Amino acid sequence: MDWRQTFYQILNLGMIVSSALMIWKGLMVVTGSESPIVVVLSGSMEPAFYRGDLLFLTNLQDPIRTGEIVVFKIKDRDIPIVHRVIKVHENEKGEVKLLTKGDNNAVDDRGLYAKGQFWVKKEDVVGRAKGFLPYVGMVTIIMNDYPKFKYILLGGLGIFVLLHRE
Amino acid sequence: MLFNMASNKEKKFQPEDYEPVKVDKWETTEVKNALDDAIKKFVKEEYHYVENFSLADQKLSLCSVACGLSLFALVYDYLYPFPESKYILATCSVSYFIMMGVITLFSKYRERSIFMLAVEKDKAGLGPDNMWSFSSFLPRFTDTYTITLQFVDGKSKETRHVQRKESITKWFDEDGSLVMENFFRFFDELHFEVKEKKVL
Repeated sequence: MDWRQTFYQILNLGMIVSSALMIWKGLMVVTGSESPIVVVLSGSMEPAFYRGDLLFLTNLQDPIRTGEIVVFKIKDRDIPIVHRVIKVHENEKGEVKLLTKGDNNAVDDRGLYAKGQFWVKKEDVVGRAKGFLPYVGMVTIIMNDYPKFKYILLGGLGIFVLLHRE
Repeated sequence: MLFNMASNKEKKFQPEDYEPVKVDKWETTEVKNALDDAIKKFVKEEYHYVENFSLADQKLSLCSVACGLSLFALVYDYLYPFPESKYILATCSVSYFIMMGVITLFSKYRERSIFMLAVEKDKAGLGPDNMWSFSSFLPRFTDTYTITLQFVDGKSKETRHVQRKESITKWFDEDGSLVMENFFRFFDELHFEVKEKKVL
């Protein structure tokens, strides 16, 4: 009976992880964004968003317009940027060029774009900010800055689930 | 000794054969698990019934399917990043939550509070076996352990069951050690009552 008990404990842990994973993937499908929840990492959008806020994104088909806050990625850089769209150019074929700027920055984002890049394209956009939760993202920032904390927390939780019966 | 003759076994119950069990007497889940585990040992070692794992295996299979779904979604999304994986992810997600529903229903209606199923093999090895099921409750913040034994006679197919409530204070001492003798005596009487009781 013992190996069954062990297997069951492992499955229990697996199911908890799977539930979180399936909710995340489900959100990805529903919002159309590859990263439906992001954390604001810098203060470049103050006073709208502060460092540590959690943002909810959607990436549905409606056209992006000036004034909307978009999250986009620059080629070869993993960290997405959350800034406001200040210029939109659109041609008959539906191709779009965007210029972005952080509310709290003095200049537009051309300095942040890749070498030779002057506009953000639709494909670079990860999503549009539709809602936010203040402060909640601080946990992620702490876990990123102090990876040991992340391992201890997740390791501890994992061990607890594996050992605790029912 | 009375219970010795009643339970129809050659060997007298030796509490020394059992490892001492010590629990935190205030932790109701620990206490229930300890009592359930003790019963499992009694059934296997004193009565020599064979444990039936079908219910446990069914639950394990259901959980494995659910985890398999999510693993598949994870791997597929890694190999074919979003948005190509959109439909697979959607299917896996929905199926996963359906599986969770199935597991919950299974737990609630089929498994209920059964913690062990056992088969009492026919002595001669010829006739049909008797099926036993054991279930228990120990609600939080109470000391009343409710044990239910259900017996299905292999030959007559009649079902008998007996339910008894008892305070756990009768079997655990001050430090939280389980007194095997007391608990076995209680359980043995119950077992005898179910087995020999004839329906009038």
